[in-house]
Amino acid sequence: MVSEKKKQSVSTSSAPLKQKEVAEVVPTGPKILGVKLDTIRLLLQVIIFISIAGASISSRLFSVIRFESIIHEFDPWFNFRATKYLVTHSYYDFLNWFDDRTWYPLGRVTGGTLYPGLMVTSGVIWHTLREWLALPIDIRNICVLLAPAFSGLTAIFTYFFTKEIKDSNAGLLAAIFMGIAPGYISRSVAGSYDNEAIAITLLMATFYFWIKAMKLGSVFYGTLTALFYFYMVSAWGGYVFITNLIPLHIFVLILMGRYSHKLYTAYTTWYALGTLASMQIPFVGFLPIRSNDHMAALGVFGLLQLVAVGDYVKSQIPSKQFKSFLVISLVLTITLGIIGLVGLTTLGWIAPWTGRFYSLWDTNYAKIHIPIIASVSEHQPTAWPAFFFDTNMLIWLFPAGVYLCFQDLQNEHVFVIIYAVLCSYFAGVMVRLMLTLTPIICASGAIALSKLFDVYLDISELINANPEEETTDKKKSTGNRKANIFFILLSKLIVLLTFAFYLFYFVFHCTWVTSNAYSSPSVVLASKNPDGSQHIIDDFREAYYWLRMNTPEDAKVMAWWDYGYQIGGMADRTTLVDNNTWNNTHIATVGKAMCSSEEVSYEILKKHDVDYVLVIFGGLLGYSGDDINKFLWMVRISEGIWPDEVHERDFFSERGEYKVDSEASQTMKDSLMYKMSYYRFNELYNGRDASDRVRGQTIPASQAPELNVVEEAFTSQNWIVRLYKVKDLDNVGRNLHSATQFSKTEQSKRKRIAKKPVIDLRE
Amino acid sequence: MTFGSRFSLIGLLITLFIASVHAFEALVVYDAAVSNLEKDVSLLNPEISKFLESNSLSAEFKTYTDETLELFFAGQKKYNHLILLPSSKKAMAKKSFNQHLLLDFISEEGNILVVGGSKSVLPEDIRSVLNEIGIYPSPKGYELIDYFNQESDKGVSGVQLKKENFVAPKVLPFKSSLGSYTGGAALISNNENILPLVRASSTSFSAPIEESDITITQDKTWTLGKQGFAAVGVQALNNARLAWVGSESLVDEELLKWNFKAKGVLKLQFTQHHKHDEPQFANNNTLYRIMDQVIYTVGVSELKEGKWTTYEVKDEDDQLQLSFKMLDPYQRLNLEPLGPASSSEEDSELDTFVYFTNFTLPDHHGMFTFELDYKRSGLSYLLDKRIVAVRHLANDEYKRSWEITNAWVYIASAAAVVLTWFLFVINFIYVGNIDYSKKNI
Repeated sequence: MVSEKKKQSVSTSSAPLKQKEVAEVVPTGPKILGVKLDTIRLLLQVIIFISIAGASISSRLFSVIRFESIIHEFDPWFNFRATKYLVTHSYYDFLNWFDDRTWYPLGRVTGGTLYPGLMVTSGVIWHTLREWLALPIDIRNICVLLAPAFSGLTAIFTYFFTKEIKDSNAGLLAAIFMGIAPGYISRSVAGSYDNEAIAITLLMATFYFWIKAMKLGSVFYGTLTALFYFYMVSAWGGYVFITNLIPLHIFVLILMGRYSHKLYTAYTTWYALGTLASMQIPFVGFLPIRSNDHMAALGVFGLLQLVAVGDYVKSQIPSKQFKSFLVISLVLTITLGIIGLVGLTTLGWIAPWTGRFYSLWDTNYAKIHIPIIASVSEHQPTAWPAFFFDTNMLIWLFPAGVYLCFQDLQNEHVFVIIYAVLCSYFAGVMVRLMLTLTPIICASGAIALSKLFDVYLDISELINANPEEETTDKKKSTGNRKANIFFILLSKLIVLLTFAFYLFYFVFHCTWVTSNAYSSPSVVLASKNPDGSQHIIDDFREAYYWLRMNTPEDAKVMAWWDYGYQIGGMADRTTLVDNNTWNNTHIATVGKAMCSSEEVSYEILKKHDVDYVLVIFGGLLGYSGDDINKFLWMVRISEGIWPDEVHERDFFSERGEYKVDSEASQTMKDSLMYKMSYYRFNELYNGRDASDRVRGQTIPASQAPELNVVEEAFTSQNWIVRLYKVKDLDNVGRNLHSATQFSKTEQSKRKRIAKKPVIDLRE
Repeated sequence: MTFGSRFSLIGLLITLFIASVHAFEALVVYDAAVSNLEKDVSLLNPEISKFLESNSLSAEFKTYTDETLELFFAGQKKYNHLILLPSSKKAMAKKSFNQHLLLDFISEEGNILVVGGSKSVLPEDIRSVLNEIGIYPSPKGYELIDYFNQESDKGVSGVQLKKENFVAPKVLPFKSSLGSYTGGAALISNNENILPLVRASSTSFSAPIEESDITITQDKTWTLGKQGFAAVGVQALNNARLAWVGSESLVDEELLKWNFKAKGVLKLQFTQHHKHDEPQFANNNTLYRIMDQVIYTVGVSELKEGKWTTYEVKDEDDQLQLSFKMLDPYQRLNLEPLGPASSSEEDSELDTFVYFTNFTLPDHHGMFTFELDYKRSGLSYLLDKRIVAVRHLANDEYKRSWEITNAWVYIASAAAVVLTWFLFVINFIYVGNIDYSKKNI
C-alpha cells in the first residue's frame, strides 16, 4: 500500500518534467486544451507536493500499523514526558521546571537544560487543535505523528533549497528523495519523537532562506534566516552546524574575492538577530559569545566588518597603498585574534572545546578520554555500507552533483560544496551525523539526475532539427537521417530506462529499509514464530507497568542510564541516572554499584536511597542489547572516577577474554550485575548448567550466584527485565550476608562444645 | 465486592480468635529441672514476678519441651514479651519455637529477656540467636572470676561488682544490695545495636570454675578483662529489646522496665517543616527554593508510668539533631527546645515537648532529606526522613539588570549605541545630503 503510493509519486514527478521541457520549447502564451500552461504547471506542482508529502508521511507509519501508536526508543520518552508536563502545566512552569524525579538526589534543572522547540511545537499544535478547532487529541498521538508530519515540510523546503541551486526540476526530485531517503527516515518514523524530527526541517528551511538572503542581499530574508535559525536553536543541539557552516561559506567566498554588499547585509542581519535570538534559549544562554564552538561565527562577523572597511578604503585610495594597508591590517588582525582567543580561553572566559567536538576530529579521543561519549552507539564511526544502506543510488549520484556545482560555482554552489565536504567527513566519524548529510546527498543527487534528464529528455532537437536540416543540408539522404534519429532515440531511451529502473529500485530499497530496519519501536520487540506469524515480546512494558503498579510512588529505581528515560516515562518512578548524561560522576556511581561486590554496592544503594534495581538480561532470549554486554562500559566509566577501586582488567578471564561462564574472573562473578543477571538462571534449566544465548556460554550450576543485599522482586516473561528490591538494614544489626546465610540454615545442629568465637575487640 | 467482604469477615473472625487466644502478655519459658515453676510459681525470680504483677502483665508459663510452645498464631505474635529462663538441656520443642521464629519475634517488636547462669545452659536455638546478634555467652561451667574483687572467704567463685562495672546506669543501675556475682560472662561483637550493661573489670576473666587448678590459657578462658560482659542489652532497629544477663541475680526492676518497654521509650509525635513566612500548620511542603528560610519542628514524647509525657533533653550529649542532607549533610543543627505542647488537637494535655530549628537552605538545588536520626543508648531510636525538592531560582526571581550596579555600565553603553545609531541615521538621511537629492531630481 505504502510502496504503491511512493511509486505513484515518483512517476508523477517525472511526468511534469516532460511537460516542462515542452513548455520551455514554446515560450509565449501556450495553451493545452484551452487551459494556460502555467495553470497546468501549478496544478501539477501542487499535486506532486501533495503526493510527495503523502509518500513521505505514509512510509513512516509502518511502526504504527504494525505495533501501535507508541513512543519509540529512549530519548523520545523524555521528550514525551516533557511535553506532557508542558501541556498539563504552564509554559512558565515548563521553563522553570525542576525535575525531582530524575538524577536522584541531584535533580535536574530540566527547564534550563533542554531544547524546548520540540515540546513547544507539539504543545502549540495540541492547543490549536483543542481550542481553535475543537479537536481534543491525545498529546501522545500528536507526539507520535509529529515527525512524519514534519518530514512532509522537509521535503518542501528541500524543494525550495534545491530550486535555488538549480531549478525546479531538480527541486522536485530532491523533494521526493528527501521524502523517502532512509537516512532521514531513520530519525523520523512515527513515534520517533526526537529533536531531530523537526530539526532537519528547520535546517533545510534555514539554509533555503540563507541562500535566498545571500543571493538577494535582502534584510528580509536575512531576518527569516535568523528566525528559523532561532527555531532550530530551540530544537536541537545540532544548530552548531549552521552556526559554523554559514560563516565558513562567507569566509570561503571572501577568500575567493567575492565579497559584496549583499553578503555583508545577509550575514550581519542573520548573525546579529540570530545570535541575540539564540541567547534567549536558557540552555544556550551565553554560549554564543563564550564557547569555542561559536567563535567562528563571531570571528567571521568581525572579519566581515574589516573586509567592508577594506572595501571602502580600496575604493578611496590607490591600489599600491591599499596593498600595504592590507598586509599590515591582516597581520595585525590575525595576531590579535589568535592572542585574544588563546588568552580568553586560558582565562576561562571562553569555554574550551567540548569533548563531543574533539571526538569529531579524532575518533579515538572519546575512547580514551570520555568513555561516556564513546559508549553511545550512535557516536560510533559509521561503517561504509551504512552510506549505501541509507541513501542507495544517491550516494554515487552525490559526487556527480557536487561536480556539477563546481561547474557553475555561483555563491550558492560554493555553499553546497562546503556543506557536502564537511558533512561527508562528519558522517564518517559519527553514525548519527548521517542525518545531516542526507539532505545534501538528496539535493546533489537530484541536481545530477535532473541535469541528466535535462539532456536526455530534451527531444527538441528531434523535432526542430528537421526543417533546419532540410534547408541547410539537402545532400544528406533521408535514410541516413532517420538512422541518426533512431540512434539518438535509442541512446536516450536506454539511459532513461536505466535511470527509471534505478528510481524504481530506489523506492523499493527505501521502503524495504524503512520497513525492516527503522520501524521497530525497540520498546516492543518483534520476532517470528516458526509458522511465520509475528510474535511480540513486550517485556519492557510488562516490567515498567509492574513498577508503576506495585511500588510506592516515590520509589527510587536504579538502572543503567540507557533505561532512565523509559523508567521515567513509562513507570513514572524516580531514577538515579538517565539518557541526559549530564553528570558523569553520578553515572559512574551507578556503574560502580553495578560492578562492585555486594557489600560495596549496598553502601552506595543505601546512600542513594535506592529501593529497586533494574537490570536487562537477554541471556534467555538472545537479546543482545542487555546489560552484561554493556557491562564493560559501566566498568570503564566508573574506573574513570575510581581508578583505585575498579579495574577493567579484573573483569576479564585469565586469558583476557570477556567471559561469564566457569572461566569468568572472580571479580566478575562477585559483581552485583553478574549476580542479578544470572540469579536463579539455573533453575530454568532444572538446576543444570544454564546456557546464555547471547554470549553462547554456559553458566555452570555450581556457580549459581547468591544474593544477599537485594531480593528478586519481578522478572518479566522472557527474563529481559529483572527487578530487584534492595533489602532494608538488618533489624538486629548483622550484615546482610550473614543474615541471609542464617535464614538459610535449617534447625541448628546441636554442638557438643560451644566454641569460643573469633571476633574483634569491643570498642 | 462479595469476595472482599467475605475476606474481611474472615479477617475479623481471625482477629477475634487471636484476641481470645492472646490472653497473655508475656511468656515465661523454663526448665522444670532447674526451677519447677509448674509446682511452685514462687520459685520465679522475685523481681520478675514483682514486675509482672506491678505492671499487671499476665504471663503464661511453659517448659522448653512443651510441644504447645509457640510464639506465633496465624502469623501474629502471641505475646509481647518473652522471658527465657535457664535450662538444663540444650534441646527444646523446635517445631514452633526455633531460632528463626525467635528472630521473627524480634522483627515483630517482641521483647526478650534471656537469663543465663553458670550452672545451666541455654537451648541451642536461643544461643544461636544470641550469637547472631553478637552476644556469645560462656558455656556451662564457665564463671566470671576476678581475684582482685571477690569476697575473701568464698574461694574462687563470686565477683564483687562495683559501680563502675555498671556501664549503662540508666538501664541497669548499680545497687549496693547486690551481693557477689556468680555467673557467666559473654563476649560481644561490635554490633552497634548492642548496649553493654555490666562490663567486667580489667582484672577479671571467665574460665571453667570446676577445674581445681585454673591456668589462664587462650583455650580455657572465654573472656578476658574488659572484653567480658555480665549483662548485655540489645535494641533492634524496630526498637524491640533484648537483654541477656549472666545470672538471675542481675535481674532488676529497672532492667525489666527497660527490657519490656516501660521506660526509655520515645515517640516522635509529629514532624513539621515549612517556610518561615508561610502558615505553620500548612501541609508539609515538598518543594522549596534555594536560600529559603525554613522552620523545622518536632514533638517528642516519652513514656512514663504508662503515659506519654514530655521528653526534655537535659544532657548536652542527648541533643536532638537535624541533618539536612543530599548524599552528605549540608546542615547539621541542634534542635532548640520550644516548650511542652499537646500532640492531638482534641486533647489539651501537654504530653509532648516541641523542638525546632530555623535555618537557611543551602544555595544548592536538589533532593534534600530532613533527617532526624536520634539514637541514644537506652532510649528507643527515632528516625524520620522527609525528602523535599529544593529548586533553583525561576527565571523571574533573579534581580533585574538595573538593580545590579555592575550592569549599569553595560546598560549605559547599550543605550549609547542605540542613541548614536539613531543620530547617525538622522544624519545620514537628512543632514548634508541636499546635493544628492537635487541630483536625483
